[in-house]
Amino acid sequence: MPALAALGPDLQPFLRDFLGAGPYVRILLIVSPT
Amino acid sequence: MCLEGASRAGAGLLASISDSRLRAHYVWVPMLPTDDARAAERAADRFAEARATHFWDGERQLARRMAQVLGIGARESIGAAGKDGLAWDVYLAYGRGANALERPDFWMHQLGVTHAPRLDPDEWRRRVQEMLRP
Repeated sequence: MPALAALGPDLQPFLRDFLGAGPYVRILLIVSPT
Repeated sequence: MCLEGASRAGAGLLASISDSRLRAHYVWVPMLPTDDARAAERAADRFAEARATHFWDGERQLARRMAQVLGIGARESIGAAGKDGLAWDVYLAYGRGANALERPDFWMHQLGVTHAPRLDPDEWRRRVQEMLRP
Protein backbone atom coordinates (compact mmCIF):
# COMPACT_ATOMS: atom_id res chain seq x y z
CA MET A 1 0.00 0.00 0.00
CA PRO A 2 1.44 3.45 -0.85
CA ALA A 3 2.13 5.97 1.86
CA LEU A 4 -0.82 8.25 2.52
CA ALA A 5 0.36 11.53 3.99
CA ALA A 6 -2.14 13.53 5.99
CA LEU A 7 -2.49 17.20 5.21
CA GLY A 8 -2.66 19.23 8.39
CA PRO A 9 -3.48 22.87 8.97
CA ASP A 10 -0.01 23.71 7.74
CA LEU A 11 0.11 22.95 4.05
CA GLN A 12 3.79 23.86 3.72
CA PRO A 13 5.16 20.28 3.61
CA PHE A 14 2.70 19.46 0.86
CA LEU A 15 3.56 22.62 -1.03
CA ARG A 16 7.29 21.91 -0.79
CA ASP A 17 6.73 18.48 -2.26
CA PHE A 18 4.32 19.67 -4.88
CA LEU A 19 6.24 22.69 -6.05
CA GLY A 20 9.66 21.10 -5.83
CA ALA A 21 12.28 21.70 -8.45
CA GLY A 22 12.70 19.37 -11.38
CA PRO A 23 11.54 18.87 -14.92
CA TYR A 24 8.11 17.69 -13.89
CA VAL A 25 4.68 18.45 -15.22
CA ARG A 26 2.35 17.93 -12.28
CA ILE A 27 -1.30 17.17 -12.05
CA LEU A 28 -3.25 17.70 -8.86
CA LEU A 29 -6.48 15.79 -8.36
CA ILE A 30 -8.72 16.69 -5.43
CA VAL A 31 -11.24 13.89 -5.21
CA SER A 32 -13.50 11.88 -2.93
CA PRO A 33 -12.20 8.37 -2.20
CA THR A 34 -15.52 6.57 -2.72
CA MET B 1 -18.48 9.79 -9.77
CA CYS B 2 -15.39 10.83 -7.90
CA LEU B 3 -13.41 7.67 -8.44
CA GLU B 4 -14.44 7.88 -12.04
CA GLY B 5 -12.81 11.31 -12.25
CA ALA B 6 -9.70 10.08 -10.46
CA SER B 7 -9.58 7.17 -12.84
CA ARG B 8 -10.04 9.20 -16.01
CA ALA B 9 -7.98 12.27 -15.13
CA GLY B 10 -5.36 10.42 -13.07
CA ALA B 11 -4.81 6.72 -13.67
CA GLY B 12 -6.07 6.89 -17.24
CA LEU B 13 -3.76 9.75 -18.04
CA LEU B 14 -0.74 8.03 -16.49
CA ALA B 15 -1.55 4.86 -18.37
CA SER B 16 -1.64 6.71 -21.67
CA ILE B 17 1.48 8.84 -21.08
CA SER B 18 4.57 6.91 -20.02
CA ASP B 19 6.75 10.01 -19.69
CA SER B 20 8.68 9.89 -16.40
CA ARG B 21 8.44 13.68 -16.10
CA LEU B 22 4.73 13.44 -15.39
CA ARG B 23 3.75 13.38 -11.71
CA ALA B 24 0.30 12.91 -10.22
CA HIS B 25 -0.72 14.09 -6.77
CA TYR B 26 -4.00 12.68 -5.53
CA VAL B 27 -5.54 14.55 -2.62
CA TRP B 28 -8.38 12.49 -1.15
CA VAL B 29 -10.97 14.62 0.61
CA PRO B 30 -14.05 13.49 2.59
CA MET B 31 -17.15 14.69 0.76
CA LEU B 32 -19.49 11.71 0.78
CA PRO B 33 -20.84 9.84 3.84
CA THR B 34 -18.67 6.84 3.01
CA ASP B 35 -15.45 8.87 2.85
CA ASP B 36 -12.91 8.37 5.63
CA ALA B 37 -9.20 7.76 6.03
CA ARG B 38 -9.63 4.03 5.47
CA ALA B 39 -11.46 4.67 2.22
CA ALA B 40 -8.64 7.02 1.23
CA GLU B 41 -6.10 4.29 1.93
CA ARG B 42 -8.02 1.90 -0.25
CA ALA B 43 -8.23 4.49 -3.02
CA ALA B 44 -4.50 5.19 -2.72
CA ASP B 45 -3.87 1.48 -3.02
CA ARG B 46 -6.09 1.21 -6.07
CA PHE B 47 -4.37 4.14 -7.78
CA ALA B 48 -0.83 3.29 -6.71
CA GLU B 49 1.71 4.14 -9.39
CA ALA B 50 5.41 5.00 -9.27
CA ARG B 51 4.69 8.54 -10.46
CA ALA B 52 1.78 9.11 -8.09
CA THR B 53 1.68 10.37 -4.49
CA HIS B 54 -1.35 10.36 -2.23
CA PHE B 55 -2.56 12.68 0.51
CA TRP B 56 -5.51 12.70 2.89
CA ASP B 57 -7.16 16.09 3.37
CA GLY B 58 -9.31 15.03 6.30
CA GLU B 59 -9.97 18.59 7.44
CA ARG B 60 -10.61 19.82 3.89
CA GLN B 61 -7.86 22.41 4.24
CA LEU B 62 -6.66 22.21 0.68
CA ALA B 63 -10.18 21.79 -0.72
CA ARG B 64 -11.24 25.00 1.01
CA ARG B 65 -8.14 26.93 0.00
CA MET B 66 -8.35 25.87 -3.63
CA ALA B 67 -12.05 26.72 -3.77
CA GLN B 68 -11.15 30.31 -2.86
CA VAL B 69 -8.36 30.38 -5.41
CA LEU B 70 -10.46 28.89 -8.20
CA GLY B 71 -13.60 30.88 -7.43
CA ILE B 72 -15.72 27.90 -6.44
CA GLY B 73 -18.61 28.91 -4.21
CA ALA B 74 -20.62 26.75 -1.82
CA ARG B 75 -23.49 26.49 -4.27
CA GLU B 76 -21.17 25.13 -6.95
CA SER B 77 -19.53 22.63 -4.62
CA ILE B 78 -21.94 19.80 -5.15
CA GLY B 79 -22.51 17.93 -1.90
CA ALA B 80 -20.88 20.56 0.30
CA ALA B 81 -23.00 21.64 3.22
CA GLY B 82 -22.19 24.98 4.79
CA LYS B 83 -21.07 28.35 3.56
CA ASP B 84 -17.60 27.48 2.33
CA GLY B 85 -16.92 26.46 -1.19
CA LEU B 86 -14.95 23.25 -1.53
CA ALA B 87 -12.83 22.27 -4.49
CA TRP B 88 -13.37 18.60 -5.13
CA ASP B 89 -13.75 16.69 -8.35
CA VAL B 90 -11.23 19.17 -9.68
CA TYR B 91 -8.18 18.36 -11.80
CA LEU B 92 -5.36 20.86 -12.13
CA ALA B 93 -2.24 20.85 -14.28
CA TYR B 94 1.03 22.68 -13.62
CA GLY B 95 3.87 23.05 -16.08
CA ARG B 96 7.57 22.78 -15.39
CA GLY B 97 8.81 25.39 -12.99
CA ALA B 98 5.42 26.06 -11.45
CA ASN B 99 5.95 27.84 -8.18
CA ALA B 100 2.47 28.67 -6.97
CA LEU B 101 -0.36 26.30 -6.22
CA GLU B 102 -2.74 29.17 -6.88
CA ARG B 103 -1.75 29.37 -10.53
CA PRO B 104 -2.37 26.13 -12.39
CA ASP B 105 -1.76 26.27 -16.12
CA PHE B 106 -5.28 24.97 -16.57
CA TRP B 107 -7.92 22.99 -14.71
CA MET B 108 -11.07 21.02 -15.27
CA HIS B 109 -13.83 19.83 -12.96
CA GLN B 110 -17.03 17.91 -12.48
CA LEU B 111 -18.84 20.52 -10.41
CA GLY B 112 -21.49 23.12 -11.12
CA VAL B 113 -18.81 25.62 -12.13
CA THR B 114 -19.24 27.42 -15.44
CA HIS B 115 -16.01 29.45 -15.61
CA ALA B 116 -13.76 26.45 -16.29
CA PRO B 117 -14.25 23.46 -18.58
CA ARG B 118 -15.77 20.24 -17.38
CA LEU B 119 -13.50 17.23 -17.45
CA ASP B 120 -12.93 16.03 -20.98
CA PRO B 121 -10.35 13.23 -20.77
CA ASP B 122 -9.23 13.62 -24.38
CA GLU B 123 -8.69 17.34 -24.05
CA TRP B 124 -7.09 16.87 -20.62
CA ARG B 125 -4.58 14.41 -22.10
CA ARG B 126 -3.90 16.63 -25.09
CA ARG B 127 -3.14 19.63 -22.91
CA VAL B 128 -0.87 17.65 -20.59
CA GLN B 129 1.00 16.12 -23.51
CA GLU B 130 1.50 19.60 -24.90
CA MET B 131 3.04 20.69 -21.60
CA LEU B 132 5.48 17.76 -21.74
CA ARG B 133 6.86 18.74 -25.12
CA PRO B 134 10.50 19.83 -24.93
